[in-house]
Amino acid sequence: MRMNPAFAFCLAAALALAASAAQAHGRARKTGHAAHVHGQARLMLAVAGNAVQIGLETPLDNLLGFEHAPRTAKEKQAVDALRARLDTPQTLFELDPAARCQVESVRIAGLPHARTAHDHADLEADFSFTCAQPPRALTLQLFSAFPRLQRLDVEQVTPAGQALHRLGPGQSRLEW
Amino acid sequence: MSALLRIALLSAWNRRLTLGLTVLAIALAVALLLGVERSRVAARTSFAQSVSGTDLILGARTSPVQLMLYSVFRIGGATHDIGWDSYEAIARHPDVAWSIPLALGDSHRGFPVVGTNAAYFEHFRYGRERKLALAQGRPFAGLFETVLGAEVARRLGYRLGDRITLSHGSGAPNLAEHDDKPFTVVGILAPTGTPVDHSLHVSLEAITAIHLDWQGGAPIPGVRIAAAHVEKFDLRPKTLTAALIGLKQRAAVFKVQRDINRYADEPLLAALPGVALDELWRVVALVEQVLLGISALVVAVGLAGLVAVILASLGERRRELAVLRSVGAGPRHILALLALEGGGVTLAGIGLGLVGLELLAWLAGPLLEARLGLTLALQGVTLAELQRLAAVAATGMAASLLPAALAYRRALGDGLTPRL
Repeated sequence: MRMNPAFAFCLAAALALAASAAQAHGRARKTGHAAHVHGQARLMLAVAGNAVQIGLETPLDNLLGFEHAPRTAKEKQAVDALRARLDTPQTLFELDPAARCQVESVRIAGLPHARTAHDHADLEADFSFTCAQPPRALTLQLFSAFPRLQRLDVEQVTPAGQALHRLGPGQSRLEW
Repeated sequence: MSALLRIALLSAWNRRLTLGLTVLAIALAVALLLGVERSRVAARTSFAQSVSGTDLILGARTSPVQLMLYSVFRIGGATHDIGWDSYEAIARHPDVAWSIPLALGDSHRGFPVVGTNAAYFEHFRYGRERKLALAQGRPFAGLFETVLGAEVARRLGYRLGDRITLSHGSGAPNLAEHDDKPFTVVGILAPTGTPVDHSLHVSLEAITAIHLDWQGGAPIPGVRIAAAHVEKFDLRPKTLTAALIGLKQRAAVFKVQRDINRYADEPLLAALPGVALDELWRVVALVEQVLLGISALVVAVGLAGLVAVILASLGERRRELAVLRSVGAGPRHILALLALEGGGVTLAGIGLGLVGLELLAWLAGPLLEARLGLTLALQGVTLAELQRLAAVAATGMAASLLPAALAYRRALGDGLTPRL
């Protein structure tokens, strides 16, 4: 039997895709499936002395309005704007000015690129700050920056201990 | 004014029984209103005390609240255990300073038995960085030795050297007993006000040892491994219920949590106990609101009773008020007289309620602390409470204006002219 080369190529590609999907799924099986709820996000805030670490886990939909690879020029622009915004975390997380905090590092994982092919995708970002003095408060600009975000569960570990705060739009200040 | 006060007092003394009961009703309502709030705060503080020294709780994958409840508070049970090898791998994590393994599931006369190791006595912290202290004896060293929590020893009357047997499982009265392998009490812990007081502590090896000749939750018929011979077996635990973890740097907690939750060989969960506790309170908040609502209603009932009593008294005081009017008291004097009575009764009720609540805290406090770990501290009145009391006083005085206004409108002649 003679196979049409184009068909053969498609078949090979499909098989490869299926295999990689199965592999990805196998990995997920072992580490589990994290919850993925549009409109909700998790913020982890750790404050120790002059160091502040902030972790953000959110479905991409909350930040972009879509979770697939950017297709149109507009979508590409949105991804670029998001990257730029996340790269300047001091505009998203305003630590109290008296503490004089500086961005130390930013790590972003999960921004969609041309090869992303997931139905659902999450963004994980870690930000660290160093301050001149221990900060006592944080004002979040997440709700104003990302209007699709409706609920933020803030888990905080500060000198005051561990706590959980559930914030909605309009609640933006954390003190400890 | 002082004459008016005197008249009001004397008149009230005349009706002391009904007014006294009204004062009592308001006092009880006020005590309930403040008591609900105080026990809510006490419960939160007490729960927070129990977890404050732990950075992470390690367990099988379940809800963080569930994991916290069964590992720290011994409420409910685990659906899965975790492998000892997983625990060891996590304990070796570079950010982990210490870890306390916990094997739960057995009990002694209703008190939970905790299988653990020496790390428990060394690293466990509660409240503000407080360490466990032994009131008597020493930590367990041998296989069949146990250290009792303060409340276990007190309530069951155990002393050092006593021999006790553990039961398999917990809750039901007719549990299978591990009666072939009795334990000796070697230590008794000082009271902590945490679930530690209600626990019996044995070594992990002991937990393995008492289950050696068991299978499927019951002794294997015909197989008896004498206590003296168990040392020949491999007593290293194979599974654990949970572990408490302390970190070198508290701020690294999210990183370690992520590493544990992504542990590839077994589905594990690392829960932040303080966060899980807040999650629990959010669930309980609705019930708290209902309780608060009910106590507010009870206050309303008390004040309604006050109005009813004063209104009813108007009939019986027609003569009295009319005589006052005839000797020159104006309508505003009558108004003031009745408002004074209502306000006085409300204030007396609030005062009595406060005193009663403090008295109750003083009398029942030690009992609550021992039984539930609740510390109802003799505290001054907080600002929030003061606001509530002011609201009660204002409502009481406003409500007593109703009968006062009625009396104000009554004609001078009313009460003097006998109605036929």
